Amino acid sequence: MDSSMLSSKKTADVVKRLAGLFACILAIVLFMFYICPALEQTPVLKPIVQAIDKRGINANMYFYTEVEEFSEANINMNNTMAYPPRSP
Amino acid sequence: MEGKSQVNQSQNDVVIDRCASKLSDLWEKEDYWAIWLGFAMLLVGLFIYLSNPPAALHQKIDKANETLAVESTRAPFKTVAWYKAVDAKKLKATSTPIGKKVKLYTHKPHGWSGNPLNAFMMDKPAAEAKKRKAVAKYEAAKTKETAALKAAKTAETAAAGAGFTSETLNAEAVKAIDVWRDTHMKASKAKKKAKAKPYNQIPYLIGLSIFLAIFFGIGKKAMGNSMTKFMVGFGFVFLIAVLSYTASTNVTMKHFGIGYAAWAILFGLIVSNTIGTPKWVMPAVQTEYYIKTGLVLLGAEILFGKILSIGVPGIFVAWVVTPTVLIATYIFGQKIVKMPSKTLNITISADMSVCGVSAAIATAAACRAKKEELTLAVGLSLVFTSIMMILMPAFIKAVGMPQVLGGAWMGGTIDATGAVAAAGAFLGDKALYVAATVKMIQNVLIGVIAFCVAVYWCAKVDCVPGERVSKMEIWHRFPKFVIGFIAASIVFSLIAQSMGNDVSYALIDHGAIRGMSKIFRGWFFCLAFVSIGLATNFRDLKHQFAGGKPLILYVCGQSLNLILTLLMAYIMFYKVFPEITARI
Repeated sequence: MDSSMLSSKKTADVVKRLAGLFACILAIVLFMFYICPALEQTPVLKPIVQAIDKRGINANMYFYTEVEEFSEANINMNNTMAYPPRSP
Repeated sequence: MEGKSQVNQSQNDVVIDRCASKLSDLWEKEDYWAIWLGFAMLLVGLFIYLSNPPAALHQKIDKANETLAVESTRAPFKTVAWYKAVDAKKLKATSTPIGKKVKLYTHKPHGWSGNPLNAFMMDKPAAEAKKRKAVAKYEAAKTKETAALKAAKTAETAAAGAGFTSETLNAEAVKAIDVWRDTHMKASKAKKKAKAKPYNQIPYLIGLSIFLAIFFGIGKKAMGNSMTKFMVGFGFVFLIAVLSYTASTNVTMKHFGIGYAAWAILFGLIVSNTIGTPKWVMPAVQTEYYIKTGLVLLGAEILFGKILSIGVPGIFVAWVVTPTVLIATYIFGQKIVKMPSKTLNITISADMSVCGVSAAIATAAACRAKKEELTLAVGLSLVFTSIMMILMPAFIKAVGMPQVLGGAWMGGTIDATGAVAAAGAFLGDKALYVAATVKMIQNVLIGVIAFCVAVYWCAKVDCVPGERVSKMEIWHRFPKFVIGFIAASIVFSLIAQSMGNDVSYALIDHGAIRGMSKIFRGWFFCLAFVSIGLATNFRDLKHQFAGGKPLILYVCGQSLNLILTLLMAYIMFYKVFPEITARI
């Protein structure tokens, strides 16, 4: 294999890799800006999306300290257990 | 995540660990550096927030508790004054000037919807326009709240006038108070948005990058690596981490529960499998180093006092069902599904039964699972979390299941914490509070599970069948960062316990934890997931998924989890402890 063939193979490889990168970026853009926004308008997803927006919940967090609602729940439950309303 | 101090091949071709501990391990080994770095950060957090408490903290708490004591004996329901007293106790050290400074310097990219640049900067005119819109909404919400409060007070006075003996008047008062709480919550959220200010996060992100490069670089240098090479590569890893956070703060991605871990792995994979990870970046691709340090910080967030938050029923739902499902799924994976890898089996079993990504990270690190195995476990968890977040509340609503039962069921089964909050909020406040509390109790289990898995792996799995491993050998093999993880949890639990719930809420929960540990742990895990992506080949992932066994394991384990959790929640909340359910 001469040097020109090696060079063209290398170029083709670089082009292939860059094409792969741009294809991935395009797929992410489509997913984030077109597919998901369209999906969240469907009757199945809309109610839960509204519930998330109403409270401003960070629904994509992984631990209880990252979600404000857990802190709300915690203080509410602690006080409910410590100061429960009397029996009717 | 593989890596053993010293590995020999025996005659039977079985891998045996022959480890030894030395004093120099303390400054030469990654596990110890994770502990030193993690604890340094936690001590700084404690120093900052314990020395800067909110003004008149104890007086405000005492006053609120006096009101709560009076109100709890006065009425058979939570009165307006009861709720106001609880609100008065929501004091946070993170809201003090120094807390705000820490937040400013360490903030991840901001939330955005249309223009990704808004994640990093917003100019004055744009901020003003946003503020005007938000203020108008806040004023409308405030007006509604004032009217609802007036109606709630009137209804409560009427019920009090009848000595709280009229069921009808009591029910009307409860209903009016619930309406007021709902409008109060909306007004509070609107108020936050009405504080929109211009920002430019870029200089702070650059500063944070330099700080973290030095922070981790010191450890790398002590371990005999080049600090300069690490710092050069770190800039690239941090940049991908920032992009991952940016993608996760997109409002639509929040709706779908797609967080930074998924984006970090994906972006890393894209780079490594298209243009290839540059060689100069590799010194900073340190998955284990970031994960172990992050896990020590996570330890501080695991407060054992939380397990009593909802009484005995919560302990049964989270601490009895969860380990049962974990062990049953692991055995099922070994005996029936015949999983090719024990570490993959336990990582999937833990992330499915405990709490998704966080549990997967802790378990994978404790048993030294491969990075591809962690990626697969996290991927499965994220996909099923999104599905369950949508389907479970819809099903619960359709069958008319009570909110407490539905909340406990979702809290015990949906993997990711944020998704639990979203699904709970969809059903209502009661469901949200129960779901969140059960999940929080389950989160605390991570520490125990990581410790047990680490011990089991050292004593039973990483050895020749039938071999009896001595205690010293277990110690030599034991992943030492787990000790830091558990120690952080015990120390912070004791500090929180000694302060009592109200003070620890202000200084620990909303101080050293949310104002320090949570912030940096998030960055460290994000860096770890970027590193996993940058060092992983798609083919390795495909190989791990061979035969769809991980999927079968996850689905079967989750099915068992759904059945047992529902059964236990029903028995505990409706048969054994109905009085606790009535209080909620």
